[in-house]
Amino acid sequence: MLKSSLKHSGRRAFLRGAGGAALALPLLEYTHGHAWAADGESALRFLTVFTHGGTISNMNKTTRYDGTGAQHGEDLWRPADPSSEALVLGPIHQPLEAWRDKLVVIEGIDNKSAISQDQYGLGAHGISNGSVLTAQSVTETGGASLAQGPSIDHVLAQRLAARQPVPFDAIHLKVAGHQYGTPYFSGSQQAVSGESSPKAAFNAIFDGVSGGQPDPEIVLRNTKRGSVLDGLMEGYGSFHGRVSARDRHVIEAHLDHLAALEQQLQDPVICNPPQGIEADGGPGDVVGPLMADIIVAAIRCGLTNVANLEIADILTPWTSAGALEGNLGLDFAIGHALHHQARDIGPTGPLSALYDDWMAYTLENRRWRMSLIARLLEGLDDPDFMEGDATVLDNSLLLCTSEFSNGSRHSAWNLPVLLAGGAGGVLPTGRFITYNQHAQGNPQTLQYTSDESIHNLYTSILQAFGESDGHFGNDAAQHQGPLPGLLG
Amino acid sequence: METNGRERAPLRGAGVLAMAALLTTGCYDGLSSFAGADDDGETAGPHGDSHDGGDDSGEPAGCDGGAPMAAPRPLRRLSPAQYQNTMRDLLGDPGFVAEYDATEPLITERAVRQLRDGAELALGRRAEWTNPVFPCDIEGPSDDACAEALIASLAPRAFRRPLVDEEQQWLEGVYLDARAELGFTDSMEVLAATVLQAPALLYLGEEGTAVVDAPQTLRRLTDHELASRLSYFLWDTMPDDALRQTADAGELHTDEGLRAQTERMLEDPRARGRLARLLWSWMQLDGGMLHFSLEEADKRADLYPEYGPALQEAMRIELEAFVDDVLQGDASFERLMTSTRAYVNGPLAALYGVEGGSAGEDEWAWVELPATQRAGVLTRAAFLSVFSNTAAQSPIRRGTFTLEEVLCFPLGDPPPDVDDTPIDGGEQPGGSEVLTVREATEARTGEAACRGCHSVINPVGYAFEHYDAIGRWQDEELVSGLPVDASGLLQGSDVDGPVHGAVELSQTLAGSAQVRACFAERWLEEALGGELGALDECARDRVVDAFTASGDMRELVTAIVLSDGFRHVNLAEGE
Repeated sequence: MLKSSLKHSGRRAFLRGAGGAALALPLLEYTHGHAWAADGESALRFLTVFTHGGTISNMNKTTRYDGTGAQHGEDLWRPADPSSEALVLGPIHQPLEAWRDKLVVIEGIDNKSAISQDQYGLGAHGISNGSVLTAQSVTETGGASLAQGPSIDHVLAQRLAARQPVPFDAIHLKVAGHQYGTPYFSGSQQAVSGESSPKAAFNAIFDGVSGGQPDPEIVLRNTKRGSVLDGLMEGYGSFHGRVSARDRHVIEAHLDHLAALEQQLQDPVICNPPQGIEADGGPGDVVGPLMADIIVAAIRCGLTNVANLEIADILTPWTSAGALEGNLGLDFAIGHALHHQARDIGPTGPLSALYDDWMAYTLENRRWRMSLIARLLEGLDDPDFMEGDATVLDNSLLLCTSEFSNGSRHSAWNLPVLLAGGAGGVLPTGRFITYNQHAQGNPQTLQYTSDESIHNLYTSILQAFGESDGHFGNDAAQHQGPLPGLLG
Repeated sequence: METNGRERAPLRGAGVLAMAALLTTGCYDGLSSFAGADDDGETAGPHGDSHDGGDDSGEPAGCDGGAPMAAPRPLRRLSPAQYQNTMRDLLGDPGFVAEYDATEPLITERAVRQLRDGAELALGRRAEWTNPVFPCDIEGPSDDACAEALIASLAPRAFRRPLVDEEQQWLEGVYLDARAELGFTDSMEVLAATVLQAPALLYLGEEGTAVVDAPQTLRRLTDHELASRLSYFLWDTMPDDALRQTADAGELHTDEGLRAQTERMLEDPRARGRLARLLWSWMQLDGGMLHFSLEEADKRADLYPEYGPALQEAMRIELEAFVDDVLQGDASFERLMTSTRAYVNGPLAALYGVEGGSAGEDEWAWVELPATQRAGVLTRAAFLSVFSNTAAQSPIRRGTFTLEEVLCFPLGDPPPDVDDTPIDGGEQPGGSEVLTVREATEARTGEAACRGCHSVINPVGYAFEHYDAIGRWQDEELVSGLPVDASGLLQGSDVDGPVHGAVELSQTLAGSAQVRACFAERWLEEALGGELGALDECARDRVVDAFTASGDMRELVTAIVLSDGFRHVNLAEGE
């Protein structure tokens, strides 16, 4: 016989409360702006664009290649005029020219976690991927490189969700292809996988979101989902008590995700979802722009505070230089092979004849990645969608980086770092900052030394969001604290 | 982890245990470490049998007569294939196709959402179900007894064991809570969806029962837990009725019961499919960290005009048919490594230079390949095409695979600054000389920093020089036009010495105890769900001994299943 009393009747309300219910969610239409919050406090958002495989860089460790040997000698990420503190965008950043005044390019950020862990003092694939956003050491087991702590986006997502409740703490979208492991972690050993299907991403994020009154069928479905989730949370809670101590973290991770799904079942968000996101995959030139559109819409609809766009190390036959791909003779038709050629196209390298084609092709490849950032910035900086006096971009901070500077050298020294947006006014923009100690007064130097690491960069980012952290990551940094002179 | 088939194949492990201890950083420390000394100062060869001596990790001295041993391993979650098969079998819905694709060690939010969607999709397809899952018409009048009946019928099958009281109460509560705010139909769906996403369905929770005279954490699997392990190992799905009934009767944990069920299950085509997938995964033909899958392995159209999707598909069909033929026959490892029997269509017959059926793509026939040119899987077009460049063969890729995956010889990662542009031979920069692939490989890897590994890798790879980038026999290279030299050398193994050509290499490997030990270890790791630990050494030794003696892959599976490691769980925090 079933027991007639509803012994679990209080559980649902409790769990929903724990998951972040009782929220006064904003009524937003992402196509027609409204201020996000009524109380005058602007919401802050954090975005990352992670581009796998490094950039066009001549970095080694403490020196740059001068372009007389087998390696090329170019750094096309660097500003065109590195002596100017006012930002003069370099070749790769040209697609971002319209937002130059809202950008900061930073030189001299090392991934000292990876450098200290790599036997060659450079970076290495798995180690660099696992540490670049976490500033942690990395364990390599069974082919996976797993960080021993969460990445900066996850930490910020949790902090921001606590003060700006949203259905999704963070969203994570991906242009899929070759890469050596995710840089995103929600905790020690816990890799986060992005969604690589625009259609699946749209279905998950805009599920139940509509421009008018919610569909009663959706309301019923969500009630059932809530019921199932309540049941599962209790079931996984009991299971947690039965597995051995060493496996409890596995079930705790599962419970966390059930709670996240519960959180996403809050009162329906009224907002016009973006239209026409139907591709279930496809080449980067199809997937990338759709993912950028989803991110913009999700932020403008108030569905999330944090968005990650991960771009794998892919070839880009669709760019204006795409036809050159055939000339390069890439035996391993992935971006990895492309940047490995970098060390052979210098004047004494075996592929010196390919120099012009390689530079032209790779530059457009990297510019295409920037075009996705341009699409994000355009949507976030929309003057028809103001939050008070500021655009969403002004209240956001976007970080673009990679696991390497010079991919061909696997160098985690002097990583490419680009920031965009004002973080609510605390980040002075339109600047180039170098932390290379040799570059003061000598911007063209080939010598390189910096005391700054991703640890310091992420500490600065936390502080930009009003957090009081004095340090982020492990103890591999030269010093604790933020980057000097970054925040206003 | 990224997808697109470029992951490391799942069958990667520690290799020979003694080797893992000796060569933690691979051969890039130089050849000297091949003859390194272990912690006890005892000298061991690169593939020495030092596992016989045990180690200092607290392992009991002998393998015979002592308490059973098994290393602790993390809780396992159903793989995407296992989840899909389980849902199909549970509901009787062979058309169910899941979106679930999570392979990360810890589950992700995306995967938990996929499981939610999977359960909803399954429930939406209930018109397709052939199993009587719902005991009543859930569109009909409210009937609490039907919920009870559903709990009694569906949950034990889904959890692959009888429910514990706590689970019974839990599921009753789920239904009652749902009923408080939903109608009967919806509440029944909520209950079923909860079962379909329950931890006992998704995770292979193993609590075991106490073993006399063994450490408290070392427990014998219950009959039902053993049934799950067996079924997921042999079939990649949940136990069928016969296996479940054996477990219900408490007869599975005996040697006789376990052997009988294993033999029965090995006769089922599902076992053949599963073992074929193990072999496929071992050969990494679905891609690896540094090579493409067969379908993604492009070739230069000017050199290989016949190569394309149709030929790739034919190569895959050929290898699958060959593997299935071996498994359906005597499952002999030697045959896998040396047989000349091949299933070919017209284009493949042309590639192999044999007469076979008609010249059509759709007409297939079994033929014998020339015994002077072919022997077993390592000489088939699929393998040779994947482990090649676009223009020419790659002795480095072929040699590396043979060492790492066939001989369990860990090489480690190459240094970061190696020039890894393809070596195709032919005219060299400057136009001064024309080199074979072999000569160009020697030139590229001639520096002292390279020799540590490449003096071992290259001579193994050179044995394959007679096969071009699509696996066709060549006496002269396509690119250089020069005659090939397929003389090779095996080093650091139990079958060291010169080998000429891949036929001789394959025959030598087929007779190597080290190769069989390596193969057996990889399958044991797959069965146990992770790399082997010190406490698995007894199980490993027995499995290796059995396979070395028989060379029968079905015997290997049986030995694995009957081993202590397969029948026990160690709940300790770590070794």
